[in-house]
Amino acid sequence: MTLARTLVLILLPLLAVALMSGCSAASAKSSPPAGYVAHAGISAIGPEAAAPAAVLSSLIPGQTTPSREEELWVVAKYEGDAQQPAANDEIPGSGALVARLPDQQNPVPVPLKHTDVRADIAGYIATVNVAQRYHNPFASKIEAVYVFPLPHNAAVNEFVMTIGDRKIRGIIRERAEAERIYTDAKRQGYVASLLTQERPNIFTQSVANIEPGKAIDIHITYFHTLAYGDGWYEWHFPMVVGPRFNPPDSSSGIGAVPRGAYGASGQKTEVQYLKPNERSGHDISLAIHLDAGVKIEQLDVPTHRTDSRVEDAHADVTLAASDAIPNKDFVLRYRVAGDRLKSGLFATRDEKGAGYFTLMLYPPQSLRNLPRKPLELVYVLDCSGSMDGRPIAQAKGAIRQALARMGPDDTFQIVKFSNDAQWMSDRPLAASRQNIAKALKYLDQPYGGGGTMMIEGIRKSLDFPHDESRLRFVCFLTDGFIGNEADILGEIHQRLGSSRIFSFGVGSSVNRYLLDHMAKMRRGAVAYLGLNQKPEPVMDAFFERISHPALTDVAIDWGGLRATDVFPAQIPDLFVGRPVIVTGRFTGNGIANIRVKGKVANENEVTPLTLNLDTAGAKNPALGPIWARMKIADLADRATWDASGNFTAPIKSLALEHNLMSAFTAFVAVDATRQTEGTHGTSVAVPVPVPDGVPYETTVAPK
Amino acid sequence: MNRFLLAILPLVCLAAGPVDAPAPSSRFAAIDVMIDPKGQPLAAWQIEFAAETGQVSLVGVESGEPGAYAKRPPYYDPAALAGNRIILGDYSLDPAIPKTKIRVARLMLEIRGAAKPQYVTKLITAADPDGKAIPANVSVNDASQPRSGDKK
Repeated sequence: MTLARTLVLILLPLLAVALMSGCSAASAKSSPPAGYVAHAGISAIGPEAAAPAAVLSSLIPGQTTPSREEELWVVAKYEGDAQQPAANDEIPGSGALVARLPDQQNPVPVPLKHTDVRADIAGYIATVNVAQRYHNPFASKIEAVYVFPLPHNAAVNEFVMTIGDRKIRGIIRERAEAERIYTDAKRQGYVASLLTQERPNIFTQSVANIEPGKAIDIHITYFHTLAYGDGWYEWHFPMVVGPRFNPPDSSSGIGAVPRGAYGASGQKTEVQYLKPNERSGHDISLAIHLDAGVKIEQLDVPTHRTDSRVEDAHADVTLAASDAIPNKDFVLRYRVAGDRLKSGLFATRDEKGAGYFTLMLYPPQSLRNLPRKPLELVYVLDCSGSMDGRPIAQAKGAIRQALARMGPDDTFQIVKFSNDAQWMSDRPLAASRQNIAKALKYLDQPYGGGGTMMIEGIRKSLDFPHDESRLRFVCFLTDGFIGNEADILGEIHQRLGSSRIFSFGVGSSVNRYLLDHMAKMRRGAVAYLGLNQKPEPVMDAFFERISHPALTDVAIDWGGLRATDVFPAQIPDLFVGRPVIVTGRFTGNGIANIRVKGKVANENEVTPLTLNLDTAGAKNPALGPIWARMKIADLADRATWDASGNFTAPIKSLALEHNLMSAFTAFVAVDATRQTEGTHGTSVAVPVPVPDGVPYETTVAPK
Repeated sequence: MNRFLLAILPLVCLAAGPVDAPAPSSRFAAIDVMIDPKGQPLAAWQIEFAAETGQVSLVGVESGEPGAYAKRPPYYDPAALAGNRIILGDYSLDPAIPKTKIRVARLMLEIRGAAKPQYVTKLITAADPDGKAIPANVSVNDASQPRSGDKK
């Protein structure tokens, strides 16, 4: 690898120099421009042109991408549901039981055979390659369609279709154009593949004209940054899309239907689920190589059984073969020596001299010595069908712990929602012993079990006056299994005011895109609670954070650094234990003396930082795509609440320029060398198990 | 097993949407890109490709022939693509770097309209393992295979 990098470094300047000599467009002209050789039809060509050129360095994908999670206050990491194998458990850790009935000896044949995940983590940046093997177990040609999750902050910028030994790189196109190309190729019998984004964390992979007995591999590469808080980094890989609830009359959601019930949901995107006594032959392997840069003090995989080896700053983690059913998120956490990262700044310049940076801002140490304001806490409990059983028991346990942590000057409210919403009281109650006793009784009263009308819960929890003398947190306890995320985020934005959201994800495959963005909307917090994890420590961590004031009204004086397009545009408050990552573009050289300004309890606070811009080289070419991904996410967020703006064009332009997946771009790959027999194959959806702990009966069927 | 799969195929085929009717608006072709480094080791290359006539879009880039440029498909410049230009490039660390004419890439193209495209190519740069520019020729060949029974 070192040799490779060396050669690239040798070659890139040459190619960049070639680029600088200028390159002219060469399409649709009546005669070849200088330097070109025309080919009558398809024939030989000469070149000899000494060189206008391009950008090999921009052709080679980057190594890293940022995530938005750093903007969030991650209170607690998902502790997972690692289960001890039962003696009679044929597939340990799987929520999908394998019934040993005479007619179900064989697994359900599906066109997705295997998923292989390889992650390479350097510091807080991960490069992840996902390989999906599609095959055709049937006797006639098929098209495979698979709806699958990726982290919502993933910058997907590489797509390769492999047929035998042949590797075909997919091309980024505007989504409508990619879909048209794919459809035309499919109709004409060409092997083709299409990757589209349905939500920032839900994608559809289509592979057309897979001939009987043949296999086709799809390789997807993405980059993202890890979440960080209280000394722990967290990397996660989602394995299954949970069954979403869609409000009545909606058609643009994510439908959940039983296997084979194509179109039954009426939604634009649809996931087919295996029944509890079915399992497909699809399994997953996963391996992580970690280079933390500093000594790893602790490493933990709370969700799965793994083989792990840790040696100083390096670790290798492999998913155990006995835990290969893709029905819950994989979570890896690690803690490094010291309470801070060794390097909070990454900066780079591309071959054209454009600079990109990411910077981690830490809260002032002095915050730990100051007391907090009184609190007003509103607990909003999701009582819908998908929360039945273990999830709602966990959520209630978390609320009980939170109530126990409240002080006599605090107030609280409880709101429950499913098909509608109800509250415990029409005004916040003092956190007295009597009121808390009433709250515990209220929690245990039966309610819900229907749909997830989260908007009702939002209205109920945000539409009463806020006591300005208190710091108000609205705590949503939910799995986030809804299909109308944009409506939810828009509603929160409209009603939130000065409140902060604490979104508390409960379950094995939570909709992290929704929960993270709810919290991020106004300087909030997020935490994840697995089904077998104790809720008390998670709530304790939350209370520890809010037991001290934050650095508010944060602004950065960039000194000699000419920083532009900085995201997040509004810097969140800095709480104890919660650093924030800022990314942007820069110009300039030398030493930049940055000053981070803010207020602690109305007192001004200034923290100086010194950055050496001369050390920024082409070491981290992915920072450009990282920045682009952050900007796309920012534009997409604004689009959820600002109907007046045109955000489609800039998102599309950024995504095309940086080779990134987005809602408006897609990857398409066609093997144009040969047409398969016949016109096109039959579409076969890849059915998936419901996430571990989620009841099939109340979420998938009957509809 | 095959009989079983045949029997259940109609069931899983419920997943199939209605068969779409409109005729395809385009056709597809595969074009091999060859580089002849004239006896010098070809460690890196970059070209620009265009259609002088006809409407052509890139819909895939395949890796080169077995050898140094077969391990991965070449990279394309997305920014150039947004400007209707196709710029490709790659490098190889293979100890057996080619010195003679070799297929470095296969372009998958979508062709719209009836006109037969005329392709033009331009060598942006070629380099040896030391990063030194070397002379080279670029050429293209049709790589599309006729379907059995079809006339080419």
